[in-house]
Amino acid sequence: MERNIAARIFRRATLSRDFWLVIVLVAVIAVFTSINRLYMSFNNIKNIMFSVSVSGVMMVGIATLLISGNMDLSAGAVGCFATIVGALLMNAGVPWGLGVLATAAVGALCGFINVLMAYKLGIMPFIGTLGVSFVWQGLANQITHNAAVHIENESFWKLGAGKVFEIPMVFLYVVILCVLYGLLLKYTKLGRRVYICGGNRSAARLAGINNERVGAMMMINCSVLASLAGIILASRMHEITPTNLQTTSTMSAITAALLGGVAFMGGIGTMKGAFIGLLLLNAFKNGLDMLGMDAYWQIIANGLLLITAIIVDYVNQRSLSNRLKQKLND
Amino acid sequence: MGQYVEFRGISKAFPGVQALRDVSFRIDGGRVTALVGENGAGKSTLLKILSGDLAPDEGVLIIDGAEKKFSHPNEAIKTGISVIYQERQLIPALSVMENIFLDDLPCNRVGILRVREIRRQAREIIESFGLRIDPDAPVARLPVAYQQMVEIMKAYRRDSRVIAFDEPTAPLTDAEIDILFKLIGRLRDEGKVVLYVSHRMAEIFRITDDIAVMKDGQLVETRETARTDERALISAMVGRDVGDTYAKLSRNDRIGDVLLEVNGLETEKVHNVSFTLRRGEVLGFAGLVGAGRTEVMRALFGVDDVIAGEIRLEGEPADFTSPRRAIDAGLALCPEDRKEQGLILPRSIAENISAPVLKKVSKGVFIDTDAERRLADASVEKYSIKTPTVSKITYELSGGNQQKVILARWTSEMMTTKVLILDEPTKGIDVGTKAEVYQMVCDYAKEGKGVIFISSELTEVLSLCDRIIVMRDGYVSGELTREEATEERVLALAMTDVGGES
Amino acid sequence: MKNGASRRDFFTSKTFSLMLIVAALMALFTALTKGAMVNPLNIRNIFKEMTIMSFLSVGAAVLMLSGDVDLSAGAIGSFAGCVLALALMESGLPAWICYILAMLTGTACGFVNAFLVNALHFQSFIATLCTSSVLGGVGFMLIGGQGLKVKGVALLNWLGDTKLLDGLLPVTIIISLVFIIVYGVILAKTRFGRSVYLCGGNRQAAYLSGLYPTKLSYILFMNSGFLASVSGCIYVSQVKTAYANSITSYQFTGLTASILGGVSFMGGAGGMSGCFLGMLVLSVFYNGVTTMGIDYNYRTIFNGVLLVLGLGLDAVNARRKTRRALRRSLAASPAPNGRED
Repeated sequence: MERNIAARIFRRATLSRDFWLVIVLVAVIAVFTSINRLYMSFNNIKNIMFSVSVSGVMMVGIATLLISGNMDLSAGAVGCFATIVGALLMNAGVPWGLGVLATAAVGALCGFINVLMAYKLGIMPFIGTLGVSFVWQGLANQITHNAAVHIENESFWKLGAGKVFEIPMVFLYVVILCVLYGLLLKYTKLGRRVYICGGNRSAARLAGINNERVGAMMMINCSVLASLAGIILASRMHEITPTNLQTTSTMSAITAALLGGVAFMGGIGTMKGAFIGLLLLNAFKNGLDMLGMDAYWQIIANGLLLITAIIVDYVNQRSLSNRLKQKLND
Repeated sequence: MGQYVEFRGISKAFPGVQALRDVSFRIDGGRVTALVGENGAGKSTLLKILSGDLAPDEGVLIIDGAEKKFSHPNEAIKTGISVIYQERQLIPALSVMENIFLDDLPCNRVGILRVREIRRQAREIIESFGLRIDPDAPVARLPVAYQQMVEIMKAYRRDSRVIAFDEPTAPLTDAEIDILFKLIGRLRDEGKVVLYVSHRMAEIFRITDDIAVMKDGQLVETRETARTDERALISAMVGRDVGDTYAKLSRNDRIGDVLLEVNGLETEKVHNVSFTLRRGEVLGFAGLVGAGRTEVMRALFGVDDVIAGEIRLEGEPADFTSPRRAIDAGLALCPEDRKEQGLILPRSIAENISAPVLKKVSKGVFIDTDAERRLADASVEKYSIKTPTVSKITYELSGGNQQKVILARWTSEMMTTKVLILDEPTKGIDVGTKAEVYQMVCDYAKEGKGVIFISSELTEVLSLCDRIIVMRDGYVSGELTREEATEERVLALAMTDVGGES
Repeated sequence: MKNGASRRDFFTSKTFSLMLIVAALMALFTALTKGAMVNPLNIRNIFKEMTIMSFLSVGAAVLMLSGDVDLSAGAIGSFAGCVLALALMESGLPAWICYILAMLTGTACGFVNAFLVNALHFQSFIATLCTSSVLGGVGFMLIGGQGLKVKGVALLNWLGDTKLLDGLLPVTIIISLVFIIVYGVILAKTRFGRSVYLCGGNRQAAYLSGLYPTKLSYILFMNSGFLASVSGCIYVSQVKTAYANSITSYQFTGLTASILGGVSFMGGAGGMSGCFLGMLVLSVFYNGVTTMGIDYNYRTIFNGVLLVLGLGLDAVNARRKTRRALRRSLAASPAPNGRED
């Protein structure tokens, strides 16, 4: 009896963040729709879905990485560089399947370099990845001479086209990815290990978990997903431009994850929440676009949103740690 | 029931200290064995050897007749040993059942968790413990006592044969302690080896069957709980040769008027603390780890917030809001954790020593490096710090020398100290320097200053201090003069309330 | 240089190796460019290049020494430049007031950073990344993509163009050198500079020794903003146009220069002399690369590589130190002593 009430309260408490996120999402949609009825038009919804598709793939990688207690600021640059490599290969006659594979391989390599920096050299991940992001971005700019690389491979275009019941395939890709990773995090041993590593390093060590191995896997995973995000973008736009995928994309992915409840310090967050955060962020951006706000307002809004997300995260962490703190006399 | 743990000839030394010396005894299953001893007796080192965190220099650990050598705590866990530490080893975001199965989540071949299985098993364990906890609840939202239960269940699920508790009742209320003790009783009835490390007399006499007493790294004796009492226990824990170190001290015998007055001090960690310190007096603060002595000093020094109470220095109100204010008013606090809170590792010896008195080694805005060097040279000589020059970066010094640098900082010539507070000053220091520290304390007293001397070494406190304040669990448990104080009396105050029942 | 080092110490010191690197680079590029490097006009270009970077580098170095990082310096500087241009062209205020206004803006942005880090407990890198993006947007809002030309302002022209010593030494270089020297002296010789090192070395220990790390953090973030705004103003004075992102690239160059120069990313170690040499190394390097006609993009790539290199060296160094410190302090470590239970 007491247990059922406790259970119900606990369950509601767990759901509360996601619950409020959905409320905010609905509110945002309502506000924008009231300003302009076309916001909820099918065309616009498709637009939102398209923007979700690119940032979503990247966000899945970043969210998982954050939960494991790590950080990668080079995701956008990696995606850019890797996709350009793939695009050039495809233009040179390589079948698009191999081109995509090559992109993923480049992504994996970049991720591996991040692992070396963090674990072999001991460079703090945030500045290390920021540093390499210059290298990747610079290489991308240099190879393309700051211009777009148009991809002529028509079968490749099919990857990003197509719809199921009017819903763009690319959006479904993201949904499937989120579901897959969500299940992985929630129901597999590896997923649990990710939470444990991020949540309490020493407990993880005692439990026999190799923190570095988990961290390395997550870093490489993040970079590979970032490169695949570039593929999706390239497939849809039929070209890849160095300015379309950059560090700002990484920041957006982080913002989405943080809004969705992933903690900056690691160990906390769900893919479900992150997905809602992603929807929220993109719905918001789209609304601002629709209002005709200039690009700079968007940039400002992104920065402010990230600040808000971090403050909320911090407040959450504080109440959590107060509860974990024992009243030991030490 | 056949299960037992035996320590045979366990010795463990650290540079400068023999933590354990030829410790041999056996703990049987089906009984709760207490491990008692004052600070420094070797209890935590022994626990660390049991849990696989440390390897003994000599001797063997025998579990159920088989010799065990652990190179990683994980191996000890797999052998069936669980230690419930004071710091929670839980993952806040995960649920209760996931924490119970933290290191061994049942899953199928592909790696997918068998959630229903986990939940079922978790529910079984929880119910068999007679508790009402939802297995799906995130552990972070449980009250602290329940978190501890989850740890115990974690140990239980591992089918641990040996379960050790390290000061488990500190964060618990009486009702929660009852639940804990019921659990412990159940573990005992199932034949497990239960080790209970604590300094709370009442609990020891309530729940344990045997008591192992340690002192100075050696096992003194083991007795059955039913056949002994508090007084005998305390006697066993103390009583040692004082030696020459203190005989040669020239102590101060002129004690003046009141210098520092503390009345009803209340902070988050300590309650209703009152004491006075007179000029020329050495006031000792004794008590076991966690008693709150450091917390009192932090409040005096302006680090922790004072919730209630009055502090007066030389008659003037002295509620400092920051260490800077305290230092300027004449307080000096040499912290216990000199590495984290004292040493500025990337900087030189001279820079470390001059840190609180930068203004005094400066001419205007510029630092007078000559004055600074002279100050540091004097300190190096006083404490025999081994270094070719005072410009040496402190991370290159040995541990003992690092400790000396911090001591030097707080006792340098440029400090205008009225009240010197030393928190475990001789920890990590060699015997020769210890004598110097003691003489320095006496010299300070002779100059009419006041010295507060926190130490867990009873002999030190008894030989050096004019009066001793004993703390326990955040309260002042008693006050003794030098004449009244004996090791037994101090330890009794540290472990029980005045009167005996804790 | 520091603390009575002997002659032998000097030759094995980082300062000396950096000087060697500068000399080596000069030699290398002189050979590669067939002597174009040592042209006096080119030498002046090296220093001109260094000017804008120098303020950002000094600000970054001082802040890093105290344990924080400011990734918004470039944005603050560019923004301050925009404020300057706007004030000069639109407000009708006297030129010198416009400059002061711009610098106050930079300082205020630094205050916001300090607030996020100290009061709201943000980590400094993410706080400054956020403010950087917000400021970038605001900059674009004010100026637009085209940039704002500044015409006919005497003070600006004087600052940007005047060369003393018969056309050889631009005023801006002198200003930059003055700043470097002043900050170097402050760091090495004053009480304030010492408190920067102490707080960066161990924040808690510094507080317990009577310093105020939080107050210091505010001062240093505001200082970083101030220096960034100086950099931005000088840029506008030289180029006569304000862009919304004029000096963002210099920010990372400045950061790399400090790290290469020995300022530890973890805080508490390093000095202005090393930082200056780091700036020199980078300026010579970039100048050489440009003189050889290599594309601009390679600069960004090289910067990234050098940054990671510098961080790697710093991290490996730090690890070596902690390992030694750990080994030594095991001799008297609190926990295994057996005394603390």
